[in-house]
Amino acid sequence: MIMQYGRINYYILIIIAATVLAFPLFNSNEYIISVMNFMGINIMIVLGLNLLMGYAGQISLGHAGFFGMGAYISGILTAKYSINPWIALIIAVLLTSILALTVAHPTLRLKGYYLAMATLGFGMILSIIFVQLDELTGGASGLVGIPYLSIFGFNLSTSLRMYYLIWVTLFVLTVLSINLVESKIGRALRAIHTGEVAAMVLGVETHKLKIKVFILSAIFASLAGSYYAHFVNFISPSSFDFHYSILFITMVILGGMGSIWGSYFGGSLLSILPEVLHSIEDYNIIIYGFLLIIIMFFLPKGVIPTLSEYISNMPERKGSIIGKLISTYMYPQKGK
Amino acid sequence: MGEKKIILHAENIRMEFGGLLALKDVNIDIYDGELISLIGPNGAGKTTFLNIVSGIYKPVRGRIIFEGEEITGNPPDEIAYRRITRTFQTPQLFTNMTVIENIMVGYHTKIKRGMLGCIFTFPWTRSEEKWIRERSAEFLEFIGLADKAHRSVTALPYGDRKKLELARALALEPKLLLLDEPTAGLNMDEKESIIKLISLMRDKGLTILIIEHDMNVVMKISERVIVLNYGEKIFEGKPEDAGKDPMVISAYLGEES
Amino acid sequence: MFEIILQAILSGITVGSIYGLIGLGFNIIYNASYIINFAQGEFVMLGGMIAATTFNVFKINPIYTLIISTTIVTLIGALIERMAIQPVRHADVSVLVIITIGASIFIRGISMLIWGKDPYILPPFTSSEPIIIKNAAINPQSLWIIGTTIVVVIFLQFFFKKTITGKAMRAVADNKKAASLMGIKIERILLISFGFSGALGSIAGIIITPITLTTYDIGIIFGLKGFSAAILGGIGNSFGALIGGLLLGILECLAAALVSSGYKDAVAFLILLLVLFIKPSGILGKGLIEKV
Repeated sequence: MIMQYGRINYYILIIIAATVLAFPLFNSNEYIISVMNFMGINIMIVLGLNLLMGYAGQISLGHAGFFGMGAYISGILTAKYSINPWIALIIAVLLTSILALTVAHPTLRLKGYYLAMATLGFGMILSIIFVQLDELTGGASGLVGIPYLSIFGFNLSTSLRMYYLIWVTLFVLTVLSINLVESKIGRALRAIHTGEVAAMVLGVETHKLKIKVFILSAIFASLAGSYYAHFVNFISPSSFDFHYSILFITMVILGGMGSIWGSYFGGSLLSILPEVLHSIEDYNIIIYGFLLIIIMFFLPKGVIPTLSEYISNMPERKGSIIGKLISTYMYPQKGK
Repeated sequence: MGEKKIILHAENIRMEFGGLLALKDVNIDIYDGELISLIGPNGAGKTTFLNIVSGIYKPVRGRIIFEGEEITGNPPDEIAYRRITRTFQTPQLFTNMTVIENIMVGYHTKIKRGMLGCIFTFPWTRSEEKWIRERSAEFLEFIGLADKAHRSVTALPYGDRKKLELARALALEPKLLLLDEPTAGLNMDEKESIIKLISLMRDKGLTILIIEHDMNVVMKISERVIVLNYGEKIFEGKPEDAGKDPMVISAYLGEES
Repeated sequence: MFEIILQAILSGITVGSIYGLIGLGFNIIYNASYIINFAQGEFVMLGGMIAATTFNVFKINPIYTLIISTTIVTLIGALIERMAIQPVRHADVSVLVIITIGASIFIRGISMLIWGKDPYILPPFTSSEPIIIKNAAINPQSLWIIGTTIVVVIFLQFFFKKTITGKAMRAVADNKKAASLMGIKIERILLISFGFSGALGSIAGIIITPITLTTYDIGIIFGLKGFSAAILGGIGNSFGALIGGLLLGILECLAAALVSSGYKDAVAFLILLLVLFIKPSGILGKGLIEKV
């Protein structure tokens, strides 16, 4: 997208990071920090999912499954087998990657509805496994006793401490994502999205790349899952079911497919919304369904890309001050 | 010109779709450095042949040999690394990228950086990024689209799209370039522009196969012409002779050019 | 052992008929438009729910209950087509996927508001005494289900072969351009298709509710399994949907009986994945056309 040209994304990240990291200094209300933690976890998942959906153009209706895998593997290894949480986290990432790799190869050869259904089926199978393997997972009643993470003996036992871990990790992942997007491979991924055959004849190994992005997005989700497990210390299968897969998709679509800041926008808005609408919690589902339809009708590109396109078209409008500013600072080479 | 070397050898190519026979025992040789046109009525199998050479289809029978190596059934991206590439009847531009970014994808095969290499480095530390960007900007300058470099490709008029797609293919520095109706839908000026570009490339030693419907273009720039009809090769030779060949004439009589 | 297998097969045929009906619903819309209607399962849920409400709350005669609820769901189907599909008919596949997902979520949400999360029941059409054959028990409702399915299929055969609308729909499925050149209004056919699928889904929901009960969220599972049936049989092929449904139902019940009942649902998804990976065009199918 036009606004992703150059270093501007890194500057935006610095601003957001500074704001988020300084935030608790002004308001350390436990409830708000908790909400922010869930928000950060959600954005982590959505960031990865957006790389898959927005860049490579592959849909995944089962991503909550990877989230669940990270959570359960971390939870089981630490709660039942007392393995060091960080090692458990790494194992979770590895196992999830292997699963993603296994599933990706046949799945990503499919297109359109086939792909959507395959990912959906896969996510549902995982959901069922989380419930059925109850000796390991605790079944429908969930897994208790998940310990905290700790860094050099420092226990991350409060929301505030997890706040920093979650958000710093998210920012690191964001840097890596921007690096990827602003690169040869990033362009190749975007090419796959809008012209897969054309990309192939230009040398892009589309199938392999799709698999790699799929695994990458699974890793983000798994990491988020592990953090989630160590944050709430109790997990149950209902947090990783079809509804959450749809929620993540909605976040991607609302914020904008193929937009890193869209992931932030969609992730944060839809994390806050349920809290704001707490009294009408039951309306959540309706709102998501409605949102999906409305966005597809009016803003199919999502909020952030539509906004950024509007802004980047401003230089064309005569007498627009913002337009002049943009064309001077964003496209410095235009003067040549 | 020296001794003519065969750069592409297509042998007994047979292609079927379901029960439909698209190509029947087609034998085509392309010589190094030549500009050859593939013509024939609609549905003759020209694009099918192109799709087979570029790796999009695998022929039911037959072989494709490029520079002495068999590439039959190889996937398109592998074939691209052998420096064969192509354009499409309708320009397949990447609509989610700017004009310059489209050209930059053309340089994909020139850079050896994988996904991990991209994730763990900052863009400004990658020397090849600067190189690609500069070369792409130069290219855009060359084809006259420099002032639209940062526009979305969806804003481009049709003639510019065709030019851009061609330029993107050329960024790959192919040895063999396959063009599917490069002048279709263009007005006189735009056609001139494309023809000039193609001729320039041919003069630089690029081997080019063009599918064309415009006989003027064919006559003007091709050294050789191959005519397909109903999936079979019915003529091969000089462009001016094609117009006199009885089989070619009857093939086209059934169709309004 | 034999009894267990027999029982499983009988149950499988019962539930498989339902999957077949739902799969038929998918096919009808797909054939008219190449759209996969993710909300298909919700039609099933709505059929059962509205019937349960009409019967239990309003105490309306069963026959009328059937007619009323089927009519309502048919209209809902048509409404969805008009409001959510028609405006974006020519959009990208992914957009349509998401819209139908959105529609299904929306319906589910509204249903939860209206009916809550409780299960609802319809009484069996005839007695609830099981019929015993060779130590295997058949629920009489099963016979109703199988019987209704057969009647529906025969009706559909008649409809598609003998009526003008039916022939028009087949024409559109075969060759949309030619059909529209012949004066067939594609938009109307699409509307009718959605209505039809609504009706089919509703009937399926009504006849299964006496056995499985109905809740606001059964739509997902039924929809997915119906889709699996359609894919297994070969999407676009109505006969295939039935075969796929029966096969799926039998395999599912066998797995539940012989392996573990908890994983029953996983069977359907596993089969779906296997079909998609190995032979996406299914047993009898032409396969999904990609809009290139």
